[in-house]
Amino acid sequence: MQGINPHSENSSLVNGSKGNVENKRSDKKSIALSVEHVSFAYDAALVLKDINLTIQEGEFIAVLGPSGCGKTSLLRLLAGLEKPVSGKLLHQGNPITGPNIERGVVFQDYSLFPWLNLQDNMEIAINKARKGLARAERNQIAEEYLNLVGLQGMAFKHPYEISGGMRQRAAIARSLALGSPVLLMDEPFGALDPVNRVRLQDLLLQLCRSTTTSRTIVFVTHDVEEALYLGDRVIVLGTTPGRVIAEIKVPFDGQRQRYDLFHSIEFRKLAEQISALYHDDIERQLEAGFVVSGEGELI
Amino acid sequence: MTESQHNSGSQKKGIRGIKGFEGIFLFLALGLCWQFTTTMLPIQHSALYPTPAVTFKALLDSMPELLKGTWSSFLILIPGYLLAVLFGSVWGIIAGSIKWIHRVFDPFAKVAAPIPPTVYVPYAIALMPTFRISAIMVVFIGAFWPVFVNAAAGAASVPLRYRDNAGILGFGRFEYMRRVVFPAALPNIFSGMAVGLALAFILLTVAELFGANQGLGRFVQYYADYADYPRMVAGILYTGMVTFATMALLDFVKRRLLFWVR
Repeated sequence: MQGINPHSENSSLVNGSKGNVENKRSDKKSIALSVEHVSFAYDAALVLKDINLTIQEGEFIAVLGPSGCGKTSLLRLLAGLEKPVSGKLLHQGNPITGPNIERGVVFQDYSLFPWLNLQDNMEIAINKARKGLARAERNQIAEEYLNLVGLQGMAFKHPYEISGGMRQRAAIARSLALGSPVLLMDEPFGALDPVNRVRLQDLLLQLCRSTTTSRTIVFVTHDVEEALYLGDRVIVLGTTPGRVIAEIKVPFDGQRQRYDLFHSIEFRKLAEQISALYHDDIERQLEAGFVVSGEGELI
Repeated sequence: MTESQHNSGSQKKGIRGIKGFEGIFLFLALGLCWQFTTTMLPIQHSALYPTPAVTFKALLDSMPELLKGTWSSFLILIPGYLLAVLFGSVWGIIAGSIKWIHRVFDPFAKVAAPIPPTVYVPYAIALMPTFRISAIMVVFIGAFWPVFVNAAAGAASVPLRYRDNAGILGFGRFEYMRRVVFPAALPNIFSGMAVGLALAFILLTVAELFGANQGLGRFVQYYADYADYPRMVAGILYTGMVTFATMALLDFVKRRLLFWVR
């Protein structure tokens, strides 16, 4: 898994057929990640309560929830950056004890080191994935991955010199270069403008379809449409404390043409159902005695 | 610090030519004031308060001596300061990022760092075999603490996002120190280096007042003893210019290395 070849990725990017993808997705694969009765707390505040989740290899999971529902905490637990209060997290059957390059992470806007240019940022990951490469080889691989995400000729730019969209492209390229079979993405497009967000969603789908290695992705978002557009399965989290309130298998397999999909009745219905789940949860909170105050109003 | 520099850079839009050179007007005004007060006012002790012309003549006349003195002073300043920067930043990064070392070292640092380093001067001169070694030691002690304290603070507050990234990339401890903690603490290290350099100059000249036979501080002391005030004032002005040039060099290096800080 570590020795993925960008050449084959490039070529399959061009030839990538949907037939392959559908086969890949319908195959019964082994379990990549499992979350068993996991609870998580910051100090005294319970953030996640009794989360159970099984993620198949090659699956694209969208974790959807309002802010403060603990979806980022769930991702950090999966990455090994946090430890659960109780319960178990497993990656291919082995307990997750700390961060590991087997699980790459793309953060919202800070995956790159600001003091390194894109090439050097990439080379750290390339060095980790494949030790002992000559400098020229590393440079070439870095360039290929940057090309793959549409950052031709940007290798010597520093993160502060490029836009947020470009930074996220580079962050994705770095995760790909790391060769992690599991990719954890924490609202990676959350800070982007709508146009860049759409572009990067499409780029991500394209990369998922084209790569020959099956990559498991956990994608955290608060955007219902984004979750439905990208995910094979959508996990909806409720708030205080965070818990799974629904798991939805997304029926639009493989055939994801943005415009058609977004305007199809099925898509809109599903999006509305999920939004309704959100609202039910919020109403339940209100009934339980939570006070919502008006803007600028003191409680 | 860097933010304000950034701002002043982006404000160079309005009146071209004058902007960025306002400081010169103050120098001109002070110079005129000096000229006026020395020549137009009836001041009795004119020997104590030389005119600009006399002072500049003294400056030019003593240039060879001053250059020699500068060289002598820098032979103390540079080793002492560079050793302080090296040990201060390395040890600061270690003490700032490894908790048990921090617990061992922090109480001592809290007690030792605030001692005004000038108080070490007489003892160092008595203790060390030569004046140069004792002066280097005093400069080292003076510059070490600001660099150390700032490096430790920078290393202790490496933003979580960099730590997360290092974890995800599978960095080992040494790699994490070298590739993440060091660059992340570099802005703090440079603040410490600026404070340390100013202190190093103070200590250098104080030490030279005590025991040197040449050097910048010695030059001023020597001509004060002989009541040659034009040369003494020239020495003060010259020392100021050398200090300014050295600080400017540090600032230049800092801007080059910290290009990514915004």
